[in-house]
Amino acid sequence: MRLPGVLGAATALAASAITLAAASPQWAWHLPAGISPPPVPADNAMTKARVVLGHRLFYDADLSINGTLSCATCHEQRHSFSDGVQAHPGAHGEPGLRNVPSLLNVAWATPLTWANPGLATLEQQAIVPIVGDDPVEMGMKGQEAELSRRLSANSCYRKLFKRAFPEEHGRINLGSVAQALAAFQRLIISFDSAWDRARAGGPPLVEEARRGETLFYGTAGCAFCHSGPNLSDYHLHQFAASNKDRGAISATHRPRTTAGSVHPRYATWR
Amino acid sequence: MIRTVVTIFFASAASLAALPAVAQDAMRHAHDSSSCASPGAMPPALAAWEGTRGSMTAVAKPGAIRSALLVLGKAYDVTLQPTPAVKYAVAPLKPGGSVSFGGLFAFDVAEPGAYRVPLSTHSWTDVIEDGQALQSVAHGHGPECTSLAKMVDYVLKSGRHILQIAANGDPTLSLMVVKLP
Repeated sequence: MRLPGVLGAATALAASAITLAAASPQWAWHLPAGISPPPVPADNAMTKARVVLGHRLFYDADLSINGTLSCATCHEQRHSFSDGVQAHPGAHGEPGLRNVPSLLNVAWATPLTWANPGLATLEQQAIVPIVGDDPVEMGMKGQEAELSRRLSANSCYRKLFKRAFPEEHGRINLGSVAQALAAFQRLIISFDSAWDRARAGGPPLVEEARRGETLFYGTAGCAFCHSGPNLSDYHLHQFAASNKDRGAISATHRPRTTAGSVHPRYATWR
Repeated sequence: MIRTVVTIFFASAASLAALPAVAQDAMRHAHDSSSCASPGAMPPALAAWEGTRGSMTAVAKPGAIRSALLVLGKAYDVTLQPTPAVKYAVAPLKPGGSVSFGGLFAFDVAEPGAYRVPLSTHSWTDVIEDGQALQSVAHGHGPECTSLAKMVDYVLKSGRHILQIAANGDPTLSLMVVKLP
């Protein structure tokens, strides 16, 4: 499968690390019964230092060309780490293309995006909004050296990168940024909502929510696609054709995975 | 008592939505004037936007705010400060990166009521009253096919206020503060 441009770079970056460990053995995942730890690439073991660094980077607009967009600009916590609009424009106002997906439990998501099922890890995916050009989001294509310069100029970042990547003397580049972001995103976990607790035998949902749940799993048919503990089957489904978004066909060149494979999704609430 | 906010519906049908201040960033998505064949109509309340503008430089700290006093109803072309140099009165929700620009201005409110901050960019804005960042009561795009990109409304008490600009991609922008009818 040919992956053009930055998507190819992202794949190459993680090509040596596609072997996934079942989990980082030294990392303590605090998960409810029945939830297994997510896969973690062998070359990006979970450490507190990488999570802390990734947390800071996630909220840093210096990852965008003009300092106006951070990951958190689109992945807003109050919107379950998604967005409140149909599509978010890029750093210079470039038109957005697709709805921002929620990052809740993204560590378990596969595929990670609707556009390219070839992006197998969060490390690969994190690079796309930073340097991608279809669509342009953070606008850093060709500016990887500038990204390194900005972060290296900050003494706090130099310390954080040294703690996170001690074997590599605090390497600061797009790759280590992506690894730290991935580590942080693996801890954006939600398995303790009112719905989760009700399913586990805890307090029942309020009446209105219970009626919604009945519809969701019944006549409304939502659960046909929105199934499983993360309310998604992670499959591409055929909806009405869209004139704007070619969906996964852009990456796979397979006509069957065509435009309009997702319906508009706004804030995702858990 | 908080007066009822008057929502103005412009000829361009750019209606304002009563949403929390954190949704300011969400309005970026639909304001694309690149395909406009002719300039759009500016409502009377914002007529000064297209008139002669003053110039002003934002200050980098609250203590210097008197040097950046805006006159209500007058449009300005302002110069901002590099974000690392700015000490905000209240930390913005979207502060911008080190390569972005921001700054502080002051304006005085004589009559309590609803006020609007129109801007030429989608930078993050805060109005500080009594040391607190106010929650906006409405926000929206500017009229179609104009240089007015964003508008944020606040209900204000009388007295001096601080206008904070953050996360602007360029060192300059245009802005003003107007009282809503």
